[in-house]
Order: sequence, then structure tokens, then C-alpha cells
Amino acid sequence: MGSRNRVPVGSRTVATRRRVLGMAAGMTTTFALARAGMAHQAATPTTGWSFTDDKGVTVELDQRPERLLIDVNAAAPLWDFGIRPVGVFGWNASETGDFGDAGGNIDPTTVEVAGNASEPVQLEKMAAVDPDLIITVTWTPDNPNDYWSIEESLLPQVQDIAPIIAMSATGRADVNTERFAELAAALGADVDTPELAEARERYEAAKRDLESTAAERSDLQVLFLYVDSELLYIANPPDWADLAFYQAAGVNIVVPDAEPGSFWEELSLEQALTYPADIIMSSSRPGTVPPEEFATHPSFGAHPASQAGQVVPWNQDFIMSYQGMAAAMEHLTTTLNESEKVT
Amino acid sequence: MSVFTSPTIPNNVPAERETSRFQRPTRAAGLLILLGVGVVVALLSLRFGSLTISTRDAWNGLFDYNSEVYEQTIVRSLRLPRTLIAVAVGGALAVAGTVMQGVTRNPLAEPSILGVSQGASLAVALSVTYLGMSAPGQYLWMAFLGALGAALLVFAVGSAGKGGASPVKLALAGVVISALLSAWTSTLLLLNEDTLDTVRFWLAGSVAGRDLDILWTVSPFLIGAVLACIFLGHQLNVLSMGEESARSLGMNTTRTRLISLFFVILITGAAVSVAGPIGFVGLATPHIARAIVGADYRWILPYSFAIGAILLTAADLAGRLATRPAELQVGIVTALVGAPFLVYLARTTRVAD
Repeated sequence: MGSRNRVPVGSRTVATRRRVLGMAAGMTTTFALARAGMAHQAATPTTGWSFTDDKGVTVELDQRPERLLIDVNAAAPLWDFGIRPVGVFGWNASETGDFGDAGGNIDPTTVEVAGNASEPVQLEKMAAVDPDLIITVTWTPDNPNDYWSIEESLLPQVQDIAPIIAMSATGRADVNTERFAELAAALGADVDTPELAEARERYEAAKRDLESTAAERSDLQVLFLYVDSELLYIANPPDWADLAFYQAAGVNIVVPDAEPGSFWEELSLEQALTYPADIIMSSSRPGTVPPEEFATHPSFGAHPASQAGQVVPWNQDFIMSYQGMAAAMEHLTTTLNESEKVT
Repeated sequence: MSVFTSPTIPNNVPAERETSRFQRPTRAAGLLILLGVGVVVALLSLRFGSLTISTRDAWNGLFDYNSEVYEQTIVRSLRLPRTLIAVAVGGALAVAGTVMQGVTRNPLAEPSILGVSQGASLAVALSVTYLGMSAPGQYLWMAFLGALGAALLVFAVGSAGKGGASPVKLALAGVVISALLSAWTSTLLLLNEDTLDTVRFWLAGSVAGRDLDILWTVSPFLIGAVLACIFLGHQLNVLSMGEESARSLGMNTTRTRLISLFFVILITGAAVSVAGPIGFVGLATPHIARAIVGADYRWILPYSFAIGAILLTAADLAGRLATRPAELQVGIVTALVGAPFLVYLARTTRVAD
């Protein structure tokens, strides 16, 4: 009622929308611009440590950073590449150790937690971790001030704690996965282990399977979305690195009427039938309608995919490692194989 | 109603003297017109929205429902609940706001000034965190208790000391307790994000995606309390003359306030349980009603109900039409309209002592 009462709620609403949207506005120039920055990597000094991130920012340190504080979305892929952070933070972090689907294989008992969904950046806890380097992802590589989980107003204070590296979460998931491998190697991880070789084989096999299944089942239309109690968000495949990757593999993904860089088309729940599809991949973030409730949902109950029981979870916080992407692709391949044409 | 009426209170207080501008038949006709407008707005809210639906389907969705027709399902399962909730919550909060302004003689009063919605929010956050409740049907009773507890606390603090519960003391106590309860809720939410995810939606204040069952559950309280409040008009008229005058006319002002506030608590607790905290309606509507119908609370109260129902339903409809094919939460629409209105109010109204 009073505006005072709404403060925690309002900020949370904004925060959640940010979290849902996965990025800030203003992605005007192309992704290639940010990539161009990487070309300068060769010009780094021979002593000390340096890495040029996907915003084109080069971080130079006297020695290779040991104490890493990483946003959960970046920590999950880096974990698979053998990096063990001292601490994690960000929208998907939690003191309970439950990092949701974003957390991947991270062992929560081994890391400090310096953020959570309501306060992704906890400055004092982050400072207490005393990191040499902070790593997060970015959904807008061309926007110098937009870091995932780090509100722009807090950026200077976070930068005071340690330099920040941002890895692209947009573009193409396979490209980003290789970038995470590069970063892991630069941070001293052994990326030539038998486990990683095996993971890579599994990833390659998953990709081949997905491509062949997608070719066989190109008649199946797949709709990626996020739906909560009030609104419906249709994922725009070119903005989502995982969906862009699946599209390239031949998966027939519904493309909504969305501006490039907007990540979603936002719709009223009344518009549930705007995009018919055979399969619905529904975001597994907290607060979303779970797949089993689609059949009885007031508006989605009438969607052909719901009626056919072909609604499955989608990890919106896809993990850009061989293990993470292999699992995601296997899930999609299985879904394509098990689904029927219903439109 | 008789519980309020003391034989020594004159029936004709200044606010109740009919002026040439506001004759009884005119006021009655005006009320009927407003109720008619309310029905029309409610029908528009069923007929129009994000999805284009024919009048025929909208009609059939209500009266000749065929679950095979998607448009009819939308009318029945999405638009009907939100319309009923907007009408009920809008009207009820407006009445509660009117009573609050009358009782505290403060034109900026609304139900949350007593910490009622903050109390409800805290109770929900607590029951989700510590009792593991997750469904609205479970925690609505907690919201109710929280609203009651907060108001009792405010009243206890506001009544302490010499002179009992004066408007200023009540308002101050309300501000302090509200701040305390909000801070507690924020702390809980910050410390426990699982709680946050469950109650975030409920705390956002909206008529969309709400369960009609909850409205049915609270409707006896809502209807009873709204009706009781509408009959409080005479008492509020006497109170509006000022504490001394009201007492000199034989009114037990403390008892009248307590009884009035009890109904406000019932209304607000019920409304908040259904739709979460929704602002502006309780604050603005009494002023609109007063501008239309004059100073007599016996008329302001029913007018407030009609206007509040119209306002919230129209705001929800506007939110659905303004950003098609998406939609805006009604709380955002009322805030957008409410902020400038509040400024206008503060600049033009002399706040009662």
C-alpha cells in the first residue's frame, strides 16, 4: 500500500525481471566488435599474467591469480574445466548451497558464498574472500558497464576488490565453451586430463546426435519460454547462445517477434497460443510454471504441446562446458526423439 | 449500526445538512450511475484484453461455456477472476481508505498507515520461512492474522499515554510500526531467498494470476466489513467535526475508532490476502468521492466503493491494453497515476490537525 512497504518488493521485482531477462538493454553494436578486442591478446607482456575478456578488457596482474571469486553462471563451466574458486556470488548463488540448475557440478561445500538472489553482490563478503580476480559472464559484451550480477552502481566498488573478467554468455554456446576452456587454461587448469578428453568426446557425440536427430525430426517445432504467474516470455533464439547453437545444429526453434538483443518477446498469458509448437522447453528458474502444470494451466492448457504432454524443462542458465552442453544437447535429443508431431 | 448510536448524538451534524448542490435524489441518482459505470467497466474488462476476443465468445465464456474454445477459456479462467478481484479489492480498499481518513481525520491516510498490509506481508514471509507454507490458500489466514496483529500493536502504542488514541498519535505509531514490520520483512527476504521466490509474486500486488478460491474464502469478511463500514457514515460525520465536538455531542470517540478500525483491518487483511498490497486506491478514492458528493460520509462511503471498484478495474484493463501483446501490472498503473495525484493532493489540501 504505502510506497515504503513496496521497497523490498519493488527492487526484487526489478531484480527478478533483470534475472529473467538475463541482460540489460542497449545491445546496439555487434558482438563482433567485442571479439575484435581479443586480437590484442598477443601484445601482452611476457612476465606476469594477462587475459583479455569478451568485453575487450585486458586484465594484467603481476602473477597468475590464485584466489578466484566467480559468479555461479561462470563458475559452473569453469568448474568443469578444473577451476576451483574460493568463492561464488551472483543471482544464482545461495547460502543454502543450492545454486539451482545454474550451479552444475560445483561442490557448494568447498566455496564461500558472497551473494544470493536478493543481493547478488555482497560487497563485504566479497572483500572478505580477498580474491585476486573476479569472474562473471556478460549478456551484452559491447556494453562496458553491464556485468551479470553486478549492478552498475556497485561496479566501482567491486572493481576495487579485484579486477573483473566477463565471459560472453551470448553469441554461440560452442564458441563460448572454447573461450571458457581458454580462460581455464590461462588460470592454470590442466585442460588435457583424460576426464576432459572424455567430456569432449561426449560433447562431440551429443552434437552429432543432435544434428542427426534434428535433421530427422525437422518437422518438430520447439518453443523455448519462461512463464510465471503473470507473464509469458518467449525466448528469441539469436540472443541465446544455447538456442543459437541448437539452431545451427538444425533444430527447428520458434522465433518470436522480438527486437534483436531483447532476448524475449514479452506476452500476456492470454497470448499463450500465439506460437504453436510441438514441444515446449520451459525455463526451470524458480518461480516459473513447472512442466507438469502446463496441461491444467488456464491458458497453456490449450497449447498443443501441453495437451500432448510434451513440455520439458530448459536450463536457462545453460552451462558452457563440454559436460554442461553435452547434457543439455542429450536432453534435447531425447526430447526430440520421444515427441510426436502435434501441430 | 445501533452499537454506534448514542441517543445524545444529534442526527443532523453539519456535514449532513443538505445543501442546494447535493440533494438526496441527485446523490442517489449519481450513485446509481456510478454503479452502472462499474458494471460497464467490468464488462469491458471481460470483453477486452491482450487477446482479441469476439463479443460472442466473451458472452459464451460466461454463460454458455465451451471448454474447447480457447477464447472462452481465457474469458472464464483469466479475465473473470481478475475482474471480480479488481472490483472486490478496489471497492473494499476504497471504503477502508475512506474510513481511515475519517477516523484519523488525515487526508493522506490509507489502510497501510496502520501497518495493516505490512503486518500481512510479514506474516506471510514468516509462515513461508518457518512454517513451510507455500500455497496462497495456506498463508492467507496468516496474512489476516498479521494484519490484525499489526493494527492492534499500532493501536496499543497509539493509545498509550495521556488522552488515548488521537489521530496524530495513531498516525505516528502507524508510521513507526509500519517501518519496523517492513524492515523485518526485508530482513527475512534478504536472509532467505527461498522465501523470496515464493512470496515475491504475492507481494507484488496484482489482480492477475490470482486464485479466485481465495476471494471466495475471504468474501464473507470482505462483504460483511464493507457493509458495516458503509453504515459508519454518520459516526464519521460526527468525528469529522473534531475530537472535542464529537465528545461534547456524547460520542465515545475511542470506541467508535476501535470499531471502525476493526472493520478496516478485516477489509485490508482480506484484500491483501487476495491481491497483495495495492496502493493508491485507498488513498485517492475518498477524495474523488468527496469532490463529487460533498462532505457527508453517508454518501462518500458508497460512492467510494463504486469509484474504487471502477478505478482498479479500469487500471487493470488499461495495463492490459497499453502494452499489448504484453501487459502491465495493475500496481504499476496505479503507481503511475497515483504519484502525480498525491502531489496534487498535498499541494491543494489542508491537512487536518
